[in-house]
Amino acid sequence: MPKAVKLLIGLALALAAGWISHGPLGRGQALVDGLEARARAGVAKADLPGIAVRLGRDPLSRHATLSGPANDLQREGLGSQMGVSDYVRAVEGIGTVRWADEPAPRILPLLAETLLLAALAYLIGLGLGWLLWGRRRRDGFA
Amino acid sequence: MLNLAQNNLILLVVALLIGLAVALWVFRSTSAGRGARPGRRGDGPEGNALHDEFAAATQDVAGEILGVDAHPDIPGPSGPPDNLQRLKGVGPKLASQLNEFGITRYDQLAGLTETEVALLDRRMGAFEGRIARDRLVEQACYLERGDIDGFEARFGKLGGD
Repeated sequence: MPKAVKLLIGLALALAAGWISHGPLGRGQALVDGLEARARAGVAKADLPGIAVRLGRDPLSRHATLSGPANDLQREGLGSQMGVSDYVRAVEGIGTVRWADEPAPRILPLLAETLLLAALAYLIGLGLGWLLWGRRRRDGFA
Repeated sequence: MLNLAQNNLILLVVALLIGLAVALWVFRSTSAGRGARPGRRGDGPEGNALHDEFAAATQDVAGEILGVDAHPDIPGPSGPPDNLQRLKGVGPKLASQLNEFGITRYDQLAGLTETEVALLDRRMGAFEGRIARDRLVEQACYLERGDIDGFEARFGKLGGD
């Protein structure tokens, strides 16, 4: 079997593992649920009534969308004073933050991020394997 | 991204292991194929396994350190001598020199490991390098099996007895 086919089979397996982890095993949903709960806690710190935050659900993403009555100062803050957006951005794991009335940026779905991560781990594994078994060894008597 | 990685730790480990397994599959089979000698039958008298190569290499290094002349342990002939001059590149003098080292048959030559060839080569004097250059081991592999067609396809027409 050609070497490239073997490498592609391995990549397909790693991507399939990524998809299974994200979808059927529910890791993607769990991550977004956790991030959303922490983002809500962040919004609560701003102490502004009527502000809601939700993360991307269709498709799942780490992109947070804020909505509710807030002026520019309340949204973005000023100087050392944090705005609502800043509280949400401060949540570790949140990707991008925008307000519902702003144009939607291009976002990377969580599934794509997970697959990229799986591919990266696969490549690292390949690299380690190459270091262990792939390097051409010089014959001692040559 | 770190948060994502932490959330998918098991996935990362699985993908890493898949990568390692594929590397083992790809690179081990490649290196095994790289070391294989075409036309060679199974193991020689001493075997061609890694531990045999290691043992031969150890003998060689120990010989140098101790100042003794390490040499390959070539098993005695298992039958009547072959005409080594049928091998391409082997004339009367080289055949005679091989005979002096106890090599009189194709199977003895075919069974030499790479380390044994290297050890033998050091003692060949004016013929140093000829075993490898003329691919004598590979030639002998064909002849000891009686694969004349294979020999001639690879090395040209075989000389007379």
